[in-house]
Amino acid sequence: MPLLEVQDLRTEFRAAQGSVTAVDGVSFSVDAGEMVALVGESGCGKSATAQSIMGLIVPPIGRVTGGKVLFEGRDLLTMKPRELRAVRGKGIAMIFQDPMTSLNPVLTIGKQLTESLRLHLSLNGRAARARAIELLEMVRIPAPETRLSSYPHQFSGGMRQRVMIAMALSCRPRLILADEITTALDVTIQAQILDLLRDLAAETGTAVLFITHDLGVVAGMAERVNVMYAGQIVERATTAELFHRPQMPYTWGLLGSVPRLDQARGGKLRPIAGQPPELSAMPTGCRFQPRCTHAHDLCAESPPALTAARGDTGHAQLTRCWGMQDVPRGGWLSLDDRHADQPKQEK
Amino acid sequence: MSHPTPAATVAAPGDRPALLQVRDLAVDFKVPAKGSLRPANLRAVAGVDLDAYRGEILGVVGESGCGKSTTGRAILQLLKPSQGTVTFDGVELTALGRGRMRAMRRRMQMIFQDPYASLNPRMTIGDLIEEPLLVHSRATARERRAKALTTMDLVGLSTRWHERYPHELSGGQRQRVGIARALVSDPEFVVADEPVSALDVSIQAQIVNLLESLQEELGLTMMFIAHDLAVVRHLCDRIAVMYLGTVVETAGCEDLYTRPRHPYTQALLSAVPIPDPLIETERRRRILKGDVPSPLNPPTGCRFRTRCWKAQDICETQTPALTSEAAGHQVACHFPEPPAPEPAAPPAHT
Ligand SMILES: Nc1ncnc2c1ncn2[C@@H]1O[C@H](COP(=O)(O)OP(=O)(O)OP(=O)(O)O)[C@@H](O)[C@H]1O
Ligand SMILES: Nc1ncnc2c1ncn2[C@@H]1O[C@H](COP(=O)(O)OP(=O)(O)OP(=O)(O)O)[C@@H](O)[C@H]1O
Ligand code: SF4
Ligand SMILES: [Mg+2]
Ligand SMILES: [Mg+2]
Repeated sequence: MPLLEVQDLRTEFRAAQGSVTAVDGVSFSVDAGEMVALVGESGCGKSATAQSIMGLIVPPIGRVTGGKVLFEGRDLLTMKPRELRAVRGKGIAMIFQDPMTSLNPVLTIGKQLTESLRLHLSLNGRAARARAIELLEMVRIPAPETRLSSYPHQFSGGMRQRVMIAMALSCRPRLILADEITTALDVTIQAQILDLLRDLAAETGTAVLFITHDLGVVAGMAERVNVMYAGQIVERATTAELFHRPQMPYTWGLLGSVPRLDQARGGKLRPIAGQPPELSAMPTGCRFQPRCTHAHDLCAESPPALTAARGDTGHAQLTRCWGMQDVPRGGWLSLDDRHADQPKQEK
Repeated sequence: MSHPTPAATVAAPGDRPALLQVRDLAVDFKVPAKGSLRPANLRAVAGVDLDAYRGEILGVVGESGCGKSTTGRAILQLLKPSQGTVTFDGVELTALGRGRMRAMRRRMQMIFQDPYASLNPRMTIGDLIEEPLLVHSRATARERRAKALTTMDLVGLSTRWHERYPHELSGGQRQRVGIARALVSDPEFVVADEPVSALDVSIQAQIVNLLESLQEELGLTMMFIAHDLAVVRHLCDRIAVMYLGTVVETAGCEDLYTRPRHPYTQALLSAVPIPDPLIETERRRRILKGDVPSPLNPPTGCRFRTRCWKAQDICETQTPALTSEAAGHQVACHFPEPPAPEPAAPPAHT
């Protein structure tokens, strides 16, 4: 049994004209101790997915309208608030992009850490303080005893994110949801934080759902990757498969959009034309179809499912593309088409 | 190149003249000081030397707060430098009066990071793009409109957006408006301050390609400020690396990326993630300790020494100057990586 299993999750937000579906039938799983990435561009529903798992999407802003979030086999979506609080404290912890939103600016770092330890682990004052120092040490904050009396604004962005990692780990959760935790940081600080999270997760056996828009970061962190586009997962693979044999034209586009330090310079980037669809005006067929250079008529007619590609045995890789699927009128694409300059077109 | 070669300028890559010369530039800000009524002095840019040669893209990289934007603004005289000179096409801007600077300004423009904040929400796209012409030219309304339309075309904005408003546009389209505003007055030099940082990768690549082709088509000289080192390498001819208000290394693009000589540049490059799991898991990273110190209280000597793994006593007492051993590759470090063993290196200028 996976540690976390999200099944057919649907999340809607209130919008000016009725409601919009930000997460539309998302399913994926995270095993104990595993690091799984959720990657995609701005607005594709990554945070909404994580917030739905944490039970943070509540009316009137939005609502989880379907699906299951099974944590150790129990559905968080149908749990009573009390049980849920217990799970949220000890079972699952979340780290956000902007630590200032989760830190209280008028309380010292020490106070905030010890409060959480006393609440969730019922430690007494002295034990909580000792554990807080240990935690700050663990996230490599120099002079932790003196740092306990600092306020959040006296810390740099990187140090605040370390404190958030310390807080997340403080109750020994089995799963951490890390939502764009290094996006606001500089690369050298990003490298420090990723290094720290990777080490600590491995040491403590904590599973991580690692959310990012940066494919480069995914390559060094995750064992498996889910690529999201317009509210849906469009490709799922092991990290090695995703980077070495990507199957979905959207993934091809993402990889072609970023210049790489390890490759020869020169040549134009291959951006994806246009922009992602509005939530209120989703294409009827494949959601990527308006931007896809490989689309056939079928793509505009009906939406493809997330399935294994034609003849692709021995892999757990799934893709949401008609061109890859073994169906009538489908299956016109192969891995080589990724680099094709002139996409082939029927008719 | 069709540009005239001047009599004697600095040793330039490919012997192009330096269109822009920045020498010993410093910019100070007064900030409120803790426990004192007198404001403290924050030296955001502390003695920067830069050259931009005609028709090149000069990349300026470095971490948040190192003074990239401040340098760019001081070059365009949008901020008053407290020290140093900025010379553009032979004219010392730092010595110009307001009137003559105004005339120069048409030739030097800026593209901003946040396309939304820099556009007046109540103006139409057409008016926004025409606006710089009101300041910089005596064109008639009709000429301005025509120029706005050709510029929209140039930056890949459909002219049907002419009467629309910024909030109707996506981030990428807004950035095209920002680029059109900078280019409508036909400048020779453009400072692009993080023009793609706020955009998604797929949109970012569209704008990078646009800037690349515009630069070629118009022969622009550009200063491209960014923190994404892979994008900078893709786009730029030469790179200047900044740390805490100073330039620590300048070199031709390939030179800098294949043989970084300053420890900070080495760490910076090793921190860039590469989208390939095989490489990422094999790679040995140089993880820097600690954070960037505050510019209110910078370290003595070499400003990087508090995070540097090579630091010795001399680094604390003496500020390393930006010196060049190999042609065109300058580094400010007491213990730089040796220069590339280049058999074909041209003799150093004396
Ligand atoms: N409170 C809200 N009300 C209405 N719509 C919302 C709300 N929060 C998010 N959305 C919409 O839901 C979609 C998914 O948003 P989400 O924040 O999950 O994206 P994301 O993938 O996390 O993007 P980013 O990379 O920018 O963080 C977006 O189109 C967004 O506009
Ligand atoms: N108007 C101002 N008043 C006071 N301090 C300022 C002002 N503008 C910038 N600074 C300070 O000057 C230093 C350099 O800032 P600058 O904006 O040039 O950095 P940057 O390299 O562009 O950073 P970023 O990558 O975050 O844009 C910073 O310490 C900043 O806090
Ligand atoms: S289903 Fe069609 S439109 Fe969608 S990604 Fe595949 S080829 Fe492109
Ligand atoms: Mg998000
Ligand atoms: Mg800046």
